[in-house]
Amino acid sequence: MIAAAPAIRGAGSGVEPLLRLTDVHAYIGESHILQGVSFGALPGRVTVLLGRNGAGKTTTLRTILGLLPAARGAIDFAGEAVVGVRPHALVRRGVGYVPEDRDVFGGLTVAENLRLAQRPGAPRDGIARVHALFPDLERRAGQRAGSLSGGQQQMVAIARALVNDNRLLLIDEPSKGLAPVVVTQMTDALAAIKGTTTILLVEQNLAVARALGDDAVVLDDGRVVFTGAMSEVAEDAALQARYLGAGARA
Amino acid sequence: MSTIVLLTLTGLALAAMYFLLAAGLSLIFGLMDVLNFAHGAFFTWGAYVAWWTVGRAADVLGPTGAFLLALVAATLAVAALAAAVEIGLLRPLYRRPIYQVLVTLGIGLALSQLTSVIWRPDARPFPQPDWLVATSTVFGARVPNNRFLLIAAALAVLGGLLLFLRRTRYGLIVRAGAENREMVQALGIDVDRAFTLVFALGGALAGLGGVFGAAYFGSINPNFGSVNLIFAFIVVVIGGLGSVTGSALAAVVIGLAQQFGNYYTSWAGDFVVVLLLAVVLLVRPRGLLGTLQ
Amino acid sequence: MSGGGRLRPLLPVAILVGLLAAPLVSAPVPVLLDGPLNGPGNLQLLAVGFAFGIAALAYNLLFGYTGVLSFGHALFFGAGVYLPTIALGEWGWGLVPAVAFALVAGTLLAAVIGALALRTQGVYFAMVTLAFAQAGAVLVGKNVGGLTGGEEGLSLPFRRLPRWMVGVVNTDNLYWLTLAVLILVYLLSLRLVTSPAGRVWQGIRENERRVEMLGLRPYAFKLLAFVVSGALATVGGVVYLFLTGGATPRAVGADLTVALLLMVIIGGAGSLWGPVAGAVLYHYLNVRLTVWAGSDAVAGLPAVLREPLRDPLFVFGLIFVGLVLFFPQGLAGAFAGRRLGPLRRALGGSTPTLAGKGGVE
Repeated sequence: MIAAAPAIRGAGSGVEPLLRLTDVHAYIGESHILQGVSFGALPGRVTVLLGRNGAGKTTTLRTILGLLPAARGAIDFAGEAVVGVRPHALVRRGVGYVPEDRDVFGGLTVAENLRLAQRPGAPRDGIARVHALFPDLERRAGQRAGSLSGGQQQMVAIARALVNDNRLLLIDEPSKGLAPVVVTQMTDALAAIKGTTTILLVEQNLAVARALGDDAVVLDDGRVVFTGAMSEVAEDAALQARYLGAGARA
Repeated sequence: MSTIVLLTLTGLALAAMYFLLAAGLSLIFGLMDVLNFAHGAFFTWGAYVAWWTVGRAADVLGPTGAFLLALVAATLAVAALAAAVEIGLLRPLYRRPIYQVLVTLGIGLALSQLTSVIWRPDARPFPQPDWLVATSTVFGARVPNNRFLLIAAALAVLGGLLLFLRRTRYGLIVRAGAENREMVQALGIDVDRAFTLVFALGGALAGLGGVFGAAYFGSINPNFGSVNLIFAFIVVVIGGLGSVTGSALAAVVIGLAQQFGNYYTSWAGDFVVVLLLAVVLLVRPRGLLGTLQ
Repeated sequence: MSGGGRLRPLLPVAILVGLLAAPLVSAPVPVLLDGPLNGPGNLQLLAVGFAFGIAALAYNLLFGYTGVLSFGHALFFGAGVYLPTIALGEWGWGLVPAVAFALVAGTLLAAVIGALALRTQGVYFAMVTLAFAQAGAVLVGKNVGGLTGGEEGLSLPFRRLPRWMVGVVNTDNLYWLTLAVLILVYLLSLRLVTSPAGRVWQGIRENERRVEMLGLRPYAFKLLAFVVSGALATVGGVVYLFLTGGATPRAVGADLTVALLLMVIIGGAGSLWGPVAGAVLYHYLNVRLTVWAGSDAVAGLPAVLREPLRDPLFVFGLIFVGLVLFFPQGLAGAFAGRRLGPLRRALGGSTPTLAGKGGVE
């Protein structure tokens, strides 16, 4: 069912969300993109942000990071208010970010991309860990990231986040623009890290969302229109038709 | 033959001076998207700080010692000036690059004029040790030694910059930041600090260039920097904004073209340089080597 | 625009009437000007300000309305200054053909340079235009072809001009002429910026990609803006020539382009009257600061303050920095009560950027 007034999950269950947004508004230029977004991401779980193109999913992630200023509302991470904290400072508190379109540094080698991503206090075996997860990257360590295929670039983007110990991972559409085989690989890799950290995942591909997601938040026109279990969304064809539309691929 | 050698070496020395200005401009633009119009004023200030230092220190340290001290003093003083400009005036405008460019224009104007206010507008001879003014004979051409020093300094700076960019973490940040500043932030790196560092580094190189420029021309005046700035801009754009190697390459092309052109008629050199810029940009709109490497 | 009361629409009319009547007013303007308002020196001061105003208005069509930053506009102003002088003096042409030649040549020059330079964008564009202007400055300064008089410049051959344009006694005629041209250029600009093409210009300034998505070619519209802007800057140069009676290399130099930019910023980019006011104020300060610097009041100041104040360019540099930091909308912004503008922009509004980075979801 569609919740009229979205409740913040976890408020009643005794477990505090690691990340909590309360009535967050954000603008891009003059456009009012987020119009009062509220939800929480529970520790250790994968929360999937769903919604059509332009619903505000990417903007939500960017606003959480502080890349876009929140015009109004509160964002709490690990019990602390983080609106106004500069992006790099927030990231250093243990947030990993895998952006939409990957944004690897094309002129840098794979190894340089990973080295750059290591924050102060990153584990010594961080790079070995991501090499274990993506053996391809070890073989291509000296190669310019710009010369990699889309799937390999996505691996670099994810690996860049995973060389650190994160409390929260923000992952924006890891399956976007990838061939089905590669999507499967990516999903397996993410499934492997699931449970080790809290993940907020933007995903339009319902199959991927279903495979990875525990909880779901559906956005429409900058507002939260559903919060609940991912399995509920997966089974609710009406909800899918209404809010996920052509963007959803089962 | 000796004329060609002389023109080549003088052209390379000119190229070296342009490179010292252009390398900083290029790094600053590459990372910050700011075309720094204050760079000419930094150059001028480097020259004046050096002139002032030599004037105070020559009696105590002798001409060579004073010149070396002037090199250090100008580099550090202008680096500090640049850092102050960046923190005080550019930082408030980070989200508005076009206004940053305009601010650097205003700063450049005010700083250049300030040298005229303090030290009067007239040109002043730049005292340098005799061995720098003395000439060495190469293939029959008598070339002033400061030309060789200038070329050596530029080569050292080029090598140092490439090492910095390729081998250090800050170099990595600068290269990555030139590609995607926001993503660098999102990796937990304080880009603002990298901005200040790069701006100060560019200032240091401009200050150093100012001292060598003063030695090259033998005199300084308040417009000293802005005249050379236009050519440095051309070097940066031809080389590809953000590319240090490209700047070095373009500086050599421009320095030589200008020297050889001006040897034939007084205006041909400057004119050829401008034509070169137009042609390069129309054929390769992003310059010869378009990204940091 | 908000507020202002019922008198507001009358204000421009009042200012216009005042400016038209200025040559008839012999009352002195204490402190601000020396002698009577209609003294030749004062009329000249205002009229040269208007001539710069025409050029600033032209520059602003490109910078303020289309969001294109050119560093080469002095070239077109310089064409308006040099070409009629050369045509009148060297080639013995009459006044009308000489002026017509300058306008046609300035427009063609803008078309050619614009067509080439607009193949590049942002800062590259600024550099290409700077380079072309620099080439022009070199040709003029080094007296290539023996036409320009080199560093000395040329003086206008007065005997070839109608008598009403010549001499100090006729300053009021030149004043009215300049004002009339300014009004014409202003009305033409108003027409342009409210036309469909003008709206596309503003669309390009806000978001070039969006204009492209509408199926329009930004290149064509930017070229139109560049040509119109270059042609009108030439007009400004011609008028300036008649006021000052000669051509010097300063009229083609990069300093003049910087001055135009200063005028536009002082007045406010993106408004029509702002740059005109900025130009008049700029020229006024440029002239008067030197006068004030020699006054007793300034002489009594300690050297630390006195010496910098004697240098108009230094003062302008500081004014410029202050304006960009605190009043990026210039005079026009301050008057229109748009003080929230800077704040909104600081929060990530739609300011033109050089590199065109950044994106939306």
